[in-house]
Amino acid sequence: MMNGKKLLALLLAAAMMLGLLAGCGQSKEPEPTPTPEATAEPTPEPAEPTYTFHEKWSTGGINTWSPTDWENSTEADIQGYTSSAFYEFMMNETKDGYDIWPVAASAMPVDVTADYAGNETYGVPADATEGYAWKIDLNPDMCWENGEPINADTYLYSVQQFLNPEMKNYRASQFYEGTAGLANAKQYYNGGGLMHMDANETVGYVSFEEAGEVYINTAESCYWWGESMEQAVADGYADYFILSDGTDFMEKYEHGVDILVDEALYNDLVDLCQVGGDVPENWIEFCFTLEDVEAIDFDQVGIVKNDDYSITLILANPTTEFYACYSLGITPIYEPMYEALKEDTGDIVKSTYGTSVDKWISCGPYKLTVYQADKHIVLERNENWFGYSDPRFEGLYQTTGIDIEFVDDPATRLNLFLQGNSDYVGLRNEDMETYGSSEYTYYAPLDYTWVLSFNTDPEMLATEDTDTVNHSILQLQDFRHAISLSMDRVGFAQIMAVSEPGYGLLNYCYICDPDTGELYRDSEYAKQALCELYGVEDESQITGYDKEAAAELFQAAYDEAIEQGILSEDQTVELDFHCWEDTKLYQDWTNFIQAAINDATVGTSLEGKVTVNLVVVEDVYTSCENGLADMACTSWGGADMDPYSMMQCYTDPAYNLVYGYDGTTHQITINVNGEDITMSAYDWYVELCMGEYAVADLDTRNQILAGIEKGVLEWYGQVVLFYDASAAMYSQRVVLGSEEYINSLVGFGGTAYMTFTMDDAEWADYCASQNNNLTY
Amino acid sequence: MGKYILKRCVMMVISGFIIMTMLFVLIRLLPNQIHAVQGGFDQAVRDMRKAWGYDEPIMVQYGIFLKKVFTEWDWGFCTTIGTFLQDVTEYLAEKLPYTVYVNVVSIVISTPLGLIFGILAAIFKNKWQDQAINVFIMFFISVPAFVYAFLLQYFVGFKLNLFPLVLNTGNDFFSWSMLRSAIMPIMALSFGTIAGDMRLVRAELTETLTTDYMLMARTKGLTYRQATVRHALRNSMVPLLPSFMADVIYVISGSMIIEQIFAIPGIGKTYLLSITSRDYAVFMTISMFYVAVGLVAGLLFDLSYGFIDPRIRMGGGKTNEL
Repeated sequence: MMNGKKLLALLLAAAMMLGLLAGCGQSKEPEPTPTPEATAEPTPEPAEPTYTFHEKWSTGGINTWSPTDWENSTEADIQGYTSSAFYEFMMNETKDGYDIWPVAASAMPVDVTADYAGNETYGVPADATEGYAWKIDLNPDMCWENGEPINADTYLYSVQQFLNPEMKNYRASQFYEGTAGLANAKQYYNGGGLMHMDANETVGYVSFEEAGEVYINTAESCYWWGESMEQAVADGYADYFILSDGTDFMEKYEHGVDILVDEALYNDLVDLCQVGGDVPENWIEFCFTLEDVEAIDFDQVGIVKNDDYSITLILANPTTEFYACYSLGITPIYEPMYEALKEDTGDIVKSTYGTSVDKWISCGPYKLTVYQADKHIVLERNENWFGYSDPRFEGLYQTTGIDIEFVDDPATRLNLFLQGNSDYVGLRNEDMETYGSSEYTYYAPLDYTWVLSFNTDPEMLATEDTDTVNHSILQLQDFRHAISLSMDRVGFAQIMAVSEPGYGLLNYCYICDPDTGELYRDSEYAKQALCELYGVEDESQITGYDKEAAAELFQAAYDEAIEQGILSEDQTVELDFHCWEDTKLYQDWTNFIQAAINDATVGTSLEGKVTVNLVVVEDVYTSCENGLADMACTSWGGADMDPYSMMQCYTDPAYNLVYGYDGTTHQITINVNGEDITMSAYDWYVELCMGEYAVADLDTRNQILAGIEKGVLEWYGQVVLFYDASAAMYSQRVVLGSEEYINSLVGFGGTAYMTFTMDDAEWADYCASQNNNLTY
Repeated sequence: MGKYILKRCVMMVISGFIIMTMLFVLIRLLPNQIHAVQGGFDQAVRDMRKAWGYDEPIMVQYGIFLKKVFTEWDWGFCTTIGTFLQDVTEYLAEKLPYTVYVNVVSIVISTPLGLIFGILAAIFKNKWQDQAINVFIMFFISVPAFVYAFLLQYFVGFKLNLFPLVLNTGNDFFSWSMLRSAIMPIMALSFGTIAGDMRLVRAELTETLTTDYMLMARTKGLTYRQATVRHALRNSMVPLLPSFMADVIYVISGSMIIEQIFAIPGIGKTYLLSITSRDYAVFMTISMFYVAVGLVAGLLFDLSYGFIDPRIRMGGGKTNEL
């Protein structure tokens, strides 16, 4: 027994020693979480005060921030801190808009279209007078962080690497598509030889007789699938290849070879479209044409060196001065490093540029000094950046460094912020009750509009039906319209804590007139479209919520479904609501929709017969694209300065999330300047952005945009729910350029205008005096 | 013995190959559709995937994979997670030390503590010491590690401000500052292991202490301590070995949740991310690393039975006797 007691005493002593050891590390004043400064070797006291902006990011999948291969916004942020664009949008003096400053450029772009009109090399129309060619004079003071100059050759080399046909860079399309698409860039990117071109683009949606020589290849990516047919089978869609007569398409045809489409194959492709629930006209999306593309030299691409510090960009499509400033950015690439880091990977060459400190070189206000994958990034002032000696930037960029640590758990991020170890924290729904009214909380609208997307395809819905359960009623527009009317958007938005109820496809972030900053949503046409859609006189009356009207439509849908044999009286309706997770948020969404439908079906034949099931899937968007979800919440965002291009997301079949909806066949009539014109939703988008109306006056373009928006929403393939927004807190020492959110281009003023009331040392002392538990 | 080891090694290689084949095929069967995005960036992804051979039939891909692994020891490169194009073995070699660091310290602390308190509980069976230990066992066995990780972080780290909330940056593993920042994740990882080991040791030792040979040992004149240490404890260790093996595997497998909570850039969360991000090379390499460690650890622990208990002989031959 004595032995046992001794052992116990020994253990207790050991435990005390452990506790003592642990306590040894604690100073009299509680110290914050070690920062890089704290963990590094002791350094002499800095002569100047430092202002380090500490952030905690979720890991976010930083893969590369190479200009040619970056993908996500986190990667873009590193680029943003370490490079300068030709033109930067800076907060204006009145703090309610922006001014455009030439930064990597030395002056505003000059339209030199007249010099290139009729130029055959670049394909500029002979009668073109504006918008095609833009001369940009470069800032001769721009240099790399090692002091080497950045000049016209740098930009020519950079564009060449973006478009390098051997590299297949992720960002190549930045220069061959859209506003910044350069003349001949696509041809250079493709390289020479016999190219497979999507037949729907080269010959269009035509009949078999009109199509000419078109081919399929099971191993090649096709437009219909967005990948190869073989890959689609591997992805679990083998059922989609079983033809009506029971034969397997994939067994019937040879794999991996180009097969000329004959009438029999054409019939099978039409069959495939129907099996997949798509329209037969889309058979062409399985096919490609063989185009003999001539390889061209880079000097035929629309970028010309005028002199060492001047270039001209010649575009495939004309653009305005604003978009020349907004879109024609070229992030420079440091040639010696980029070339040295090239390596063969598979059949292509890639560069590991932009993946570590020694594989990146800055030309912006900050330079990268520490990069520890998935853990830590440190950026410090790039003293070689011209802006620090440019009078225009005097008083700006007080921030001397940016310290980013990756912390995935949002609760930990918040605790670190409350300790004073972070100057910024994004707030979640559950934080809003505590911090929603804090004076340090800032709200910013986001450009994402969330909609409830439906599956409307009769055949696909029918596959889910059983004797007792019905999904098919969703194909009826009245039923979907009734769901729309049953939704109280104000209530739904409250689930999201900081979001706003939404009614249109485009929210209040979209600017239609860059010169005045006018919001598309504030234009008369946009207001009128929504008033007509929701049946009210004035925009202020829009709620989108009408329980009585919803009940009538539910009853009408029920009657129609019974009459058409879509629904039997013994069946109940089940709607599979696909969500990312089974968390409180998605449960709240599900419960809200369920309650709204329950409420609106009272007294109708559907009362108590509609159930909304939360179904967790790995990828909601894949579910929608493939018609596996009855409904799901989806959103599109981005392109705040170009609301017109956003219509591609809602009309182009490639982006379609409403299964059963086909923007190429859905006809919309729009009154354009007094004349009723009818064409498909997709054709309207094409005409608006790349065709007849691409350079029309603002009123006409808004009229068409509002017409497309209303036309798409009237189909009730998607019901707008809310406009996204975010909330965040900044630390007590941070002063933002503007207290109010201005717009997506300048936010609250950005890093340039951010200032601090305490330097790092003072802040550390202050936090310690508060026992590292700050009150917000 | 040599023949047995050889046989086990061959079986181990075959098992590894079967598992590798299954993993390779299964991960590639997961849906991996490329979504159309505005700007045509999806086309570049398709082009890259094609150039990297991801459009080839799965068995062709597997053939290429095997050839590269066995002829060049090339496990591929990071594509969607980690550092773009970085050699995947290099990438994982950077991440492994963080996981091992936290878990090794956890094992170094928890195994002896589990043993000591387990022995104490057995010796003082049904006394207050045993009851107290049982309460500890019940609590820490029942509650998942991430719960007390959160509790530790909130109360000890945030409210009491005793330790940093997250692991230090950098890789100075032998500094006090780094160790101090790792104390909370180590504690969170240790509680469950300590409780598990205590429970096993207590159960085994309690049973052994009541066997006839222990009575015989005492009647032969051995003290209680001598009988317990020389006979009971050694015999109790045999069934405990598999659990220690599991602990060793745990060392390198890491804990996704703990790593996430304490911002440890380790291998645990990378593994799960490799599945959701469809980074085939990262997934295969981590998987095979775990498989290899598991198989080797299994073999070593099988062989070690013989050293702990000389009565156990391997191989099943004629000489195999108690």
